[in-house]
Amino acid sequence: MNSTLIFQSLISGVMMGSVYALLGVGFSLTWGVMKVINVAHAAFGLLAAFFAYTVFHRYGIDPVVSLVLSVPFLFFLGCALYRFLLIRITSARAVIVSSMILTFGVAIILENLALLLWGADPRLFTTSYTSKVIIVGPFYFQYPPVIGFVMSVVGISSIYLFLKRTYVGKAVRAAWQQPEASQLCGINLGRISAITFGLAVASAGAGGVGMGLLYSFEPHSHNLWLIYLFLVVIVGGVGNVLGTAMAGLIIGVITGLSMAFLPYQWVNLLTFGLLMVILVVKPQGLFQSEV
Amino acid sequence: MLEIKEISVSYQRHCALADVSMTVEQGDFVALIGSNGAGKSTLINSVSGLTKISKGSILFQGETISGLSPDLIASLGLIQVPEGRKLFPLMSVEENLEIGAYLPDPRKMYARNLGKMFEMFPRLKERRKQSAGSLSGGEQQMLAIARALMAQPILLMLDEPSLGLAPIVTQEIFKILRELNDEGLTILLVSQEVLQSLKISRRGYLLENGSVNLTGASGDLLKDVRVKESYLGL
Amino acid sequence: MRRALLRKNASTLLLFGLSLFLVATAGPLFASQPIVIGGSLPLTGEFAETGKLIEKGMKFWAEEINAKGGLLGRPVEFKIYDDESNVGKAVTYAEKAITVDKVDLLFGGYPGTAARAVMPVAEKHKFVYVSMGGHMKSFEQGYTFSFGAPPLMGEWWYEGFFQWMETIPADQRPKKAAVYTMNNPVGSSLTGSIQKWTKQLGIEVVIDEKYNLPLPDATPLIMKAKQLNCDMLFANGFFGDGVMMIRAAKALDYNPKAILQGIGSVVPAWIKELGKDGDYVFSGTSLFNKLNFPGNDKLNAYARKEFNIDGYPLYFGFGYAWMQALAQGVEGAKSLDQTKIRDWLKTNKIETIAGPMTFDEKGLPAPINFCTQIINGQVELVWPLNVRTAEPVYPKPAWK
Repeated sequence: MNSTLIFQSLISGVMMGSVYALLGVGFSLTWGVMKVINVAHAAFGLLAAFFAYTVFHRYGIDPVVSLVLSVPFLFFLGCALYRFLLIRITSARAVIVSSMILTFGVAIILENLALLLWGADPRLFTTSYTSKVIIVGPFYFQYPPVIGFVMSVVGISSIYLFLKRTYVGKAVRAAWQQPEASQLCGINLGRISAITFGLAVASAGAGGVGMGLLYSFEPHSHNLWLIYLFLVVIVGGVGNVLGTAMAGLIIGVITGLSMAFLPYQWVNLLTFGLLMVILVVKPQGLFQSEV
Repeated sequence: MLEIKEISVSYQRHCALADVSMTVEQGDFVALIGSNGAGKSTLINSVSGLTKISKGSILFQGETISGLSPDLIASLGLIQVPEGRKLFPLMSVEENLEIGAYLPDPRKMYARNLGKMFEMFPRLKERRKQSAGSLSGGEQQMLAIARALMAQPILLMLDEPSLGLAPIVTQEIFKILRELNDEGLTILLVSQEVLQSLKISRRGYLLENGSVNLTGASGDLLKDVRVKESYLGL
Repeated sequence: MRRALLRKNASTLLLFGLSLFLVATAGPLFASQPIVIGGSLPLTGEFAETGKLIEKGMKFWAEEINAKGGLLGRPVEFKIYDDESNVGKAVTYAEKAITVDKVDLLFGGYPGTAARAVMPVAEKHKFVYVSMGGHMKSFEQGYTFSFGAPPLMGEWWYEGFFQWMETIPADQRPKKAAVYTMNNPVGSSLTGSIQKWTKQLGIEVVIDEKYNLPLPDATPLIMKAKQLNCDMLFANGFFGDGVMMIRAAKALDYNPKAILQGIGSVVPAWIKELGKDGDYVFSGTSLFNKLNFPGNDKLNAYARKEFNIDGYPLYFGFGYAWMQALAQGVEGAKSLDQTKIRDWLKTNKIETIAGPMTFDEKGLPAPINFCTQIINGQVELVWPLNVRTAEPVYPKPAWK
């Protein structure tokens, strides 16, 4: 086993993991702070990927650039979804369960919408930079994963900074740490919930385009992506933004290392085995829930 | 300033408040006393909009506020320091104060008010970067009060601010409340510390089993036989 | 009053019974009595797109045969259930079609997993079942009523490629092969022939690894193949992982003499989505719209008219071909007696759009050896010579 292969595997793994984290961060947020497990999260990401695909083929606009349109759109869609749909279950006794059932329905609608609009064929982003590489010594950095990695760093840090530095972001954290007291401080819980959900859905858009840079996608792909979401969130700690990022890196490193050292068919087994070990040993995730 | 007119609150079948009336005047310092479960917190939460009333009305500066959402009531300057402090535990002291000044008007005055708070509570200044959850009980209570003050209250309502605190800390907090009232802030204090609250307040209400059984100047209440026997253990 | 009613009822009953008798005995005399062909297809769910294509292929066949006066002089009609891409439901519906609906014939199922599960049902009720099958194993269970006409056999997938490779002078053949195979029954079905043929052709298999789907990343796989100087790459996977392999190969400038890709490269998306990068990949198939056997041009014309595409979709062709085989069995046996149909098919040659076929005791034709290569964004047939549409491009040109 040579060091070039190990290092190359690590790089690839980390970039891949970072994109999972970007897709997962909003999922973690709604789960952690609102107790809403949005199983349609990946489907929103998929929607953004399809949108990017269409915009690219129709107008030649780069998939990443398409986010300028899709992210705000998804934000408002998320807000509206909260206002008209999710708000009805937030008073339910078991929000987690009822939210899963409700958003499962949303996922099915989105999936069928994608089938209707784009058909069942698999899609790929094939841009001018798709097979370009940056060569550093013996290592190859493929453009799409590098772009995905940069998107992830930018996306997750913006969410982190939003929550830590802005007034509204702080209000989001306050509202979920202590809902009653936050209302007494003048925070409108309904509005903050809508913003939180909108933000999460918007971030799914960025994550979806990131996934599209790495993988082919079709209307059912979100089911698969959802598995990665659970993986990232459970390793990273529910509701923990930086934990999600760390989880992405950890999963990337593990995947990378096992790709280099183990027979390839073990990679998924190992990753999900790890998930089970974490669930048993540290049910709250490797990092504490924090918002 | 605050008029509570014959309000009733029931939880399921149980009647928590029955036809309670009460007023707080501008510059007043009213103590609401009574034993555990008498309905004091229910009353204060009804004013803040956290608890829905089934009958009666609440007026603040002449406007009906019963039925408004808690954040709207807060925006009118009616600020509560909740029981058990209910700080944002994972946020720093400073962030807690920032959230206190969340509403548009207080937000404009944030820097000035923050300075005032640090002057009033020097220990909070020392611990400004620490998370609220890591503070001691007394410090937490001070932070809770400071957070409420950041909102520039017109009427400050406190629910059991001395609960679980050492006597010396309780005294300190009550002293601060006295000073705030002397500076002109209207205060409604809910407390089981009957003696101390009556000592620092101007007027008092005694709440028993969901209704007001006694009211008057605090000094008079201190002398009342019923209060003496049931609450002061004399 | 009651008695009168009873008498009236009795006479009605008698009349009804008589008419039933007439219909039952004289059925074949009435040309309008249709032959019902039943079964299920995945019209919704995971395999819906393909399932619908098969349905269209079958209906095209029915249209055509009805226009010619039907099967055994009777019109045909379908009773198609939607199994929602669920194997269990496919089995239930096959059972229902035979026992409840009492259909005259059973049509072929899809996908392979469903076909494999329906085979024992067909055998139990002694119904001829023409389908793609579920690779070699499904035909090795001693079923006598199941036919693959044409089947979709992983075991034969690279047969044509290797037969062609055998014609290449030994010193120009690849020396070392990297074999990456998805860890599932489809992937596994491909590996046997690779082992056999590489040994025979003197190609050393340097890497032989399996991976589970979904493939997280292909870069390390390609890097390894590059480092070990493998000049032949087997990417035995579906579309998603196949695409990742190709892209990683291009990015790492790994350019083996030949790239073989299992299933992914035969779907239209390969060319459409990958563009130039998808070129020169070899694969196999058991049916293709560029085949020169009678009927293909007719299907292509229909596809151009109805779907506005050049070349009929693969599964449209499958739906048509399976019905072609079944119909020849019926006409050969001149009966709807399932055992007679089976026996006729086992002993006679049929003509299909996938070529002429005779069946062995397993219900399989001789190994199908079509080899495809993508050249200039077109799927071309490069082997065997009698169906060749283009010269194979070998060794693979450098990446552009």
